[in-house]
Amino acid sequence: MLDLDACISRLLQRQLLAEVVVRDVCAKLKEALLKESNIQHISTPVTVVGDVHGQFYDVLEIFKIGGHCPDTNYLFLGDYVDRGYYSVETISLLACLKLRYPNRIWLLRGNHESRAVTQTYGFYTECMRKYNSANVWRYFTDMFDFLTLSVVIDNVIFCVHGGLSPSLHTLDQIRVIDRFKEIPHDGPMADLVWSDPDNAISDFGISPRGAGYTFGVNVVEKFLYLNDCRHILRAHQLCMEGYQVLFDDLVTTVWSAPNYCYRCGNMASILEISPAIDRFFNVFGAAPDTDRETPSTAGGGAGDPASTPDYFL
Amino acid sequence: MPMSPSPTQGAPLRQTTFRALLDALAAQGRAHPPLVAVPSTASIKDALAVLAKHHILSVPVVSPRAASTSGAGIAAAGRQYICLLSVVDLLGAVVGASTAKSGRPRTPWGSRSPADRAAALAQPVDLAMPLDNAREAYRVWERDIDDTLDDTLRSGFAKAVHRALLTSVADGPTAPAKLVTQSDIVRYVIAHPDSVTPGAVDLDKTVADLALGQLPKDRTLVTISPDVTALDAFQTMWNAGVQAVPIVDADGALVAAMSAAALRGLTAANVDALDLPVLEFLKAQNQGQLPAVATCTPTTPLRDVITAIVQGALHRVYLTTADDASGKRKCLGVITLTDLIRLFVA
Repeated sequence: MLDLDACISRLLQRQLLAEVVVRDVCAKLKEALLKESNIQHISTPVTVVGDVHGQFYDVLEIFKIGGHCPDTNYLFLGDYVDRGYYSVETISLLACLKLRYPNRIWLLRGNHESRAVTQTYGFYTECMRKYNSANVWRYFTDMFDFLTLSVVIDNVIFCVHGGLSPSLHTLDQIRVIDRFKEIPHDGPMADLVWSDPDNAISDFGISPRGAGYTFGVNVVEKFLYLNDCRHILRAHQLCMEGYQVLFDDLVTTVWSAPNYCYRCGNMASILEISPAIDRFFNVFGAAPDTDRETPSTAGGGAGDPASTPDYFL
Repeated sequence: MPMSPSPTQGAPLRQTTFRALLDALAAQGRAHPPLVAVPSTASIKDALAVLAKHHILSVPVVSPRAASTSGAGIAAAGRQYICLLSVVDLLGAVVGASTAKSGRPRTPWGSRSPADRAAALAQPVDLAMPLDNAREAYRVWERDIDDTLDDTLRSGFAKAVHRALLTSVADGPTAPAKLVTQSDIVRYVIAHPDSVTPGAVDLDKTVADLALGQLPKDRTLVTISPDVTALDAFQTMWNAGVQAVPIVDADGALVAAMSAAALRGLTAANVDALDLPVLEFLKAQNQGQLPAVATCTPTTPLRDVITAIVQGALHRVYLTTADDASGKRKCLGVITLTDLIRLFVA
């Protein structure tokens, strides 16, 4: 019998779960996520969190300043793993919290919740190093296939990891996507997790990322009008100030990994939305070094937080 | 190797393929040498040495895992290209002032001991790979050699992307990657002027007619005074995200310019030259002479501007007033390769 409270307390002390426990958590979580629609409708009050990328101590910081789950409702916009040193602990904690409090925490799929990307940007390597086998990576990436693609808050704020797609004009079109698979290289599902807003264009443009598109203000206005929404909330792009408001307050980017990769020196934020749909950007910096433990054997480096793995995107 | 089937003369620039462009440049005697690259495990010091040795402004970084199937980067001829780092990116990673709002800020370069400076330069080059998506080096602009120039011109080069990496599906997995730069486009256009829309780009029109070099109302020209050190000049470039900055005196007259090209000769051995006053630094990098800056006035025809750029292998020309009584010229703005390409695709 799975004792989720015990799992959560272990994880909060940064202790890993046993491989079989991870297997059971992921199996049960897949069953729970199966019931979620591609667009989950949730209510305020909710605190929205952007990319965290395995920065476990900064996730603890988020719970410290935003309130612990289930006392605070959370919506995470994806990109839980890769780049940081503690992707395994981060995704394990969020998976257990989701299973324990399914109506208090919501998890979207980001472009890093994918087999191809996690093999390149650190999560696979970390799983191999911490568990000496690829099983845990497989359990998590199989579970990622079940994560929902978008959320609508109070019927007015559309939340997605990346952005819009030229193939998707209405919410109903998003609902009929078959999301239970690896993120394809292109198509509507790929666009939702890869696209970026661009101030310099008004319609869709080619994305320099090589996946998804860039989209401009006309596309945003049309989408919001057609779907009776007022705002688009997304993550996916680093913001030095922790957040960025675009297109005359129609699109917001939230970024929640401070001092990204332990060297960017950026602030991070979480967005607290009240029942009156008031927005408060709770901006925070990296957790102090005294609260943080750096790994003694980081992959490739000598435990120096300033050394980074040889990948990027 | 397949040659482009139709003559390049008369083909509009946007519909020209990269292959046709490179063949035309080769016919002009302007073929690129094979790409050098540094592994991501090399140090910043090594990368700077490569730039200095080959007299180039930027270098591709490749994965040390030569031909990995699921590695990061763009695959070509057994290498995985991860990043294109310019001399500004490399120096910025160690010398650039810390813009940290969070996390541990960096000690200013000026107050670091020689041992600290050497240690900083010995760090691996992947530290210079930016994670801020506003920086150009954040992602590689990659296209296939048989693609047309269209979207690269409009969404890339006209938006301050300076270079593009070309791979080839048609030539097979052993075909080496190639680099195409904004300079190549301008060289091609001056040799094939009918490739750009006639009427819209009349090479005999003046700079003023075409409104070149004028900054939009919400931006001011970034300048530095001759009193600052080369290090300060670099910090200004780094913070503003520009590749060059004009040096103007108290009256606004153009004295010289600090650019990425001036930094190209910096290696670990002479990086301390950055502590010099900026004019001394420029002289030291140029055999004791202050290098002349290419300028033009609002009445200069576009043809002359492009010719000066192509012949001098320049990346920008400063827009100034005509010489006044004392031979000084007031700096009004700058015309860059990006501005020219934006004109070509307008």
